Amino acid sequence: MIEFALTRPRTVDEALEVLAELGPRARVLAGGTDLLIYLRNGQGVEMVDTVVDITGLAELKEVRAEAGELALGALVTHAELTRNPQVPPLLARAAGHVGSPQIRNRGTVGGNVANAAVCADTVAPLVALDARVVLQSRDGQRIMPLDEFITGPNRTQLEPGELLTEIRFAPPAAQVGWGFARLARREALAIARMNVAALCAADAAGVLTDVRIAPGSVLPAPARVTEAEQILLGKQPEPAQVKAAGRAVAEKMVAVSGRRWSTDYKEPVICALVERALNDALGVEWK
Amino acid sequence: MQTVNKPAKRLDARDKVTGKARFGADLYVDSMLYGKVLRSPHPHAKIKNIDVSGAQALDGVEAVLTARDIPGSHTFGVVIANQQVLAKERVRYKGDGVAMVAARSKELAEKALTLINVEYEELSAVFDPREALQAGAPQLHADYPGNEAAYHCVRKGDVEAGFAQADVILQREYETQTIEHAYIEPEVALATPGDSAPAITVQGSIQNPFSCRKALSVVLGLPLNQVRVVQSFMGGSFGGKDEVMSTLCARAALLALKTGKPVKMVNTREESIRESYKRHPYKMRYKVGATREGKLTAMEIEVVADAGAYASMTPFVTWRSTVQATGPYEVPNVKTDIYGAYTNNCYTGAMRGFGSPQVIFGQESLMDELAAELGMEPLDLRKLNGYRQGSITATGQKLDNHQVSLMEVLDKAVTASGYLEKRKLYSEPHQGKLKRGIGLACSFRGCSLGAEGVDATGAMVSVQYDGTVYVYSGLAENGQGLQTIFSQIAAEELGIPLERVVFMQTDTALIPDGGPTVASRSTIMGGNAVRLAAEKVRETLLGAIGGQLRAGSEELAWGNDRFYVKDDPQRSVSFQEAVEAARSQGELLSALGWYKSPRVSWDEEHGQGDAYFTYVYGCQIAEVEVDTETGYVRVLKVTAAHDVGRAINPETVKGQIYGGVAQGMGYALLEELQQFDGDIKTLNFDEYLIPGIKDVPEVEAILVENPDRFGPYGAKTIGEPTLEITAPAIASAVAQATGRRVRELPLDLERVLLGRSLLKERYQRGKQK
Repeated sequence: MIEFALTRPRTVDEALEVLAELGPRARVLAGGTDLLIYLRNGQGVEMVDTVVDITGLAELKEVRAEAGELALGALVTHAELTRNPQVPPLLARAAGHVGSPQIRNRGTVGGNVANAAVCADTVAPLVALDARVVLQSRDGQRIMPLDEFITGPNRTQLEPGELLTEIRFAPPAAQVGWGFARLARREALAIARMNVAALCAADAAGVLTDVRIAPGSVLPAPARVTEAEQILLGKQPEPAQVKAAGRAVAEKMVAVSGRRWSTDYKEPVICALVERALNDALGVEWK
Repeated sequence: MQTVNKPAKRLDARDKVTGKARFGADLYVDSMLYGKVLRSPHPHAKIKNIDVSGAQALDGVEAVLTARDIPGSHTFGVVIANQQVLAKERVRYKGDGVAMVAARSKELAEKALTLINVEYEELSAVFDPREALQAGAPQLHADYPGNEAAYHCVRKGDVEAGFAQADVILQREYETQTIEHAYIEPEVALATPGDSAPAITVQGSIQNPFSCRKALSVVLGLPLNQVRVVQSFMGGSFGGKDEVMSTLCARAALLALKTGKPVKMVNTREESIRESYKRHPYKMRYKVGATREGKLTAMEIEVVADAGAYASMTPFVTWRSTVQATGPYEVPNVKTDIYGAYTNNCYTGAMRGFGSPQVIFGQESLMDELAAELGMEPLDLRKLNGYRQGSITATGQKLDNHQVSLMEVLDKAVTASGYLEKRKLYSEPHQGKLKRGIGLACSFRGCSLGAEGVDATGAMVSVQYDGTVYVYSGLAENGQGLQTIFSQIAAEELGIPLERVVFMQTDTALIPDGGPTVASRSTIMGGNAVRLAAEKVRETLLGAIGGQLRAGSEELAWGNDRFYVKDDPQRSVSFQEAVEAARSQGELLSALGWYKSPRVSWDEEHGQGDAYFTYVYGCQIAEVEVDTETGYVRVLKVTAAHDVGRAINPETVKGQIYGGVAQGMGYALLEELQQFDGDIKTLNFDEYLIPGIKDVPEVEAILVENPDRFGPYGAKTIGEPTLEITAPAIASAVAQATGRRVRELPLDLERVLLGRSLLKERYQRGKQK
């Protein structure tokens, strides 16, 4: 465990003030489910001498609907995501897979996003939802798409002095189909080996008007795979096209990451997971 | 019987559940120091020089010790004394300690370790046990040329002739992985120097207090009566808190004697996984011959076990494997060779099962493969060859002194699980992506130590004048439920309620050395000792009240807290009155019971003999669902039938079965110590995965009771049989579901989907992670 000072700001403004002052010397404590491990191992916290505990900032714990958008405060916990009726079921389902009840009670959506693990269970659905993140600092505010914010494994555009305060997206209409496929090595308390979030909107004739496919643990930085989405968009999808979409995601994975030790396994399995997520989104039985 | 063979609430349950139980980590005394160990960064190296001056100069550090400061021997061992408390000239794996400090805080102790400079000369290392046995391999121990840590054989009949009679010969290779005990409580010890005798007292999470005392005596250069070892409540052991705890206790004791202050040492989880011994990985070659009808004619087995850096229990672990390697099957011609090889991997030793889970995975997979080859049902092949009353084992032992219940456990498990119907159902073509399968495995297992060595143990029952009772035992409560079982036996023999019995935690100063708490020997050995002790006290009580009841001892009976005349129960006295009568007559109401095991025999040259004095039989059937697109295996149900002789406490027996199945399931599907070039990659439970509550399936426990002539009330053994057969049952179920057999454990996602592990590729040098 590294040695550090702990400060507990009472308002967001106070937190931004402290962060501005300390710059890279500060790390933010939200749920702490990742940070405490980093502090213990001394991993990636070489410059840190102060932990800014924002767990008391009630204003960041709200889920607000405004102007057709849903705004999740950064401190909304995974447990809250699973039970708040305003949260789209895709995201609620994904949040329910995070860790254990204890971790879901502590861990926050803002932390999950800012930690930017490739396997983060809320990130794939948020990317599928075209979510944007709100980054505040003493000097102002930046808003950017989530898939731009996360630049690689555990890497983001968050600058010293900035605080991720909110995640926003337009919730899909109730009739939009969704699917979340996830694979881990055991039933619970297991990091996702891979996951896939899918959303499919269709018109009255069953023609797909919007398709979003966002895989996790597949690309170094999260993104929708448009090559796969294009295969289905504007179609009344056939099983072969759904399968082809899965293959397109696998091809994208190999194109971006190359062939690695795990590719022999991941390549066929991501195809299957994409297919499952899409079939769930399309209401097709696949088991 | 009033208490025995009846469900009893565990005596330690309330304290453990409410947090009152004091575990090793809870030990605290004001003046204590904290000890920490510096471990080797190299798997194999000479120690050229150790400079401790920097650590010594740090304020708050009270002692810095290396192997050169050890007054006695720097090595100890139960079988072969080559386990290093601190490495002196050479480190042989990355867990070897080279220096240690005692400081006023844990943080200071950790800081001091960074100020110790060790100069090493790296030596070439060997990590593959088969390579280690070859000529020219780097050598680990001068006394064991060729790195041979152990070798045992069995020679029965003539295998060449046997194979000549065979219509079908099958050769298969199987492999099992290294696994971690994963006890929830990491190792902990508190050593307190004495102002007067004993010179040192050590408490902690110690599985075998007497083995620990012996190690301390050797290392500290103190006579046995100057060393006292007291067991704390245990947070799990599974065979894993033997040598590693003796090492930790010896280190804490050395620091305590050096500083004159109590010293506490606690391993972090990472330290624990890095240093503590593991279950041996086995590489197995099986060759089996059978007639067209399925009769086995010959079996040839060659096994190489990775002993890692030190001997630990390898000679005994591989011996049990040798005895049980053919499984519970009549094979007229057997040739078995089992080697233990020293390597620069983490050392391996005792773990629940003790050499059986590995060979059972081999032989039970083999039986299913042979059945498929012969076009037979796996169950029919087992019934055709399985042990029956009077069968002769591979080591030439005739099984006629106990009930050979293999057929009974098979039948009971088959019926309860619907095995035959499901096996048929799941063999029909199925279009879905989730496919099901069912598989079975069975075993025979020798109870207690067998021909490993002297097998005897003791217990003391002491009745107090208020009618309450202490039970002291040389065997220890490691979480298996021993104290409840022993207390039940004492209560039964004295005819009193269980609530009046208190079990004293094992303390080497209070009871004779009764050997280690291993080999599922507690109930069968220790239970007899308790029974004998309680009988002696009861005889005294009966003698004291005979006059009053006008009856001889043999005419009296006991129960419900009273002694009474068998033929006239109205003539009775209460237990309390009997105690008072005996006391007024000046009688001793304490007694030591000592039980020696019945005769066993062993001829090491041919691997023949009556290896164990009795055996237990078990069968488990696993039903699985496999996701054929991902390789994910879900275990739906395990049906487990075990002959326990007699269940002293049926609830504890069920608990053992549930726990054993869960642990066996981890062995089958999840657990694998990822160790490459001697470097352990899975140092905590985020990466070393064990089953969680949501993974463990419904377990149907079937208790089969065929009382054994030697066991107390006929009771035998249950701790280890429960986990040794789970993995092959699951593997065969997966094979049915997927149509492809996986011959190495664990059946993780990659092995089930691709048929091979990807870990080697992952960790190979130069490759990207």
